[in-house]
Amino acid sequence: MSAADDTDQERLKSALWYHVGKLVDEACMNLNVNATPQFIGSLTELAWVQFDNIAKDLENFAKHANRSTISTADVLLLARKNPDLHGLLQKVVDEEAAARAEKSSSKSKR
Amino acid sequence: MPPKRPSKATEEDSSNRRPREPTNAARDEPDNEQEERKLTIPPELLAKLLKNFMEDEGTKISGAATKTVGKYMHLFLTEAVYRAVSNRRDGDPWSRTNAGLMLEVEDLEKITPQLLLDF
Repeated sequence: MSAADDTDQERLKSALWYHVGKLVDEACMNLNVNATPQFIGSLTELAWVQFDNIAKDLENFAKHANRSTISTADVLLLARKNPDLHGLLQKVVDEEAAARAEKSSSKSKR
Repeated sequence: MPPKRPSKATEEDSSNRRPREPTNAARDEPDNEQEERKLTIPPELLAKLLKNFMEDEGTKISGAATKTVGKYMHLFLTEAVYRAVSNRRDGDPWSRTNAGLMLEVEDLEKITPQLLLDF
């Protein structure tokens, strides 16, 4: 079981690595810089640990509210110590809620 | 990633997510705002990663919450790059002399503590 688990972890990490690489490429293009593969690898490791932290936080936030499904309120709680981050996430949540509210019409604002 | 579509008109009205695993051959340059905004970690991967780290099998996550986590990680990763460059360039990530700048692991090491405190 642990062997299968390990390969699962590896595959997940590879998938994350790929997407981290893309996001880093995008940011680098905006700034006109380059990143070494080692930089991307380290950042993937960092994101991996961050996922570990936030997944457990989110789970416990939901549990604390007597829910078994993580909601956007729990995600917003992640950013409680950083008002700027909270504002940005709130915007995403609001947009998402608005999109859901008028899902019948295909027209969407930017 | 989504293959390049020929017309911008189709781009405008379709805000659908592309769930499929990208092939590494696909290499699209963001040539406008719309394309840039689409570049995120796919929700399926986010959900799998979160599930992977959770202790209780029964915990679920809503679609909107997954999307918000996606934004969170997008900000986290982008912020890491900007801070790394900013750190090398004395607080000015858009410095003119950026061309040819290579980000190294040491750059990430320097900004990691504060980054983790801010997220």
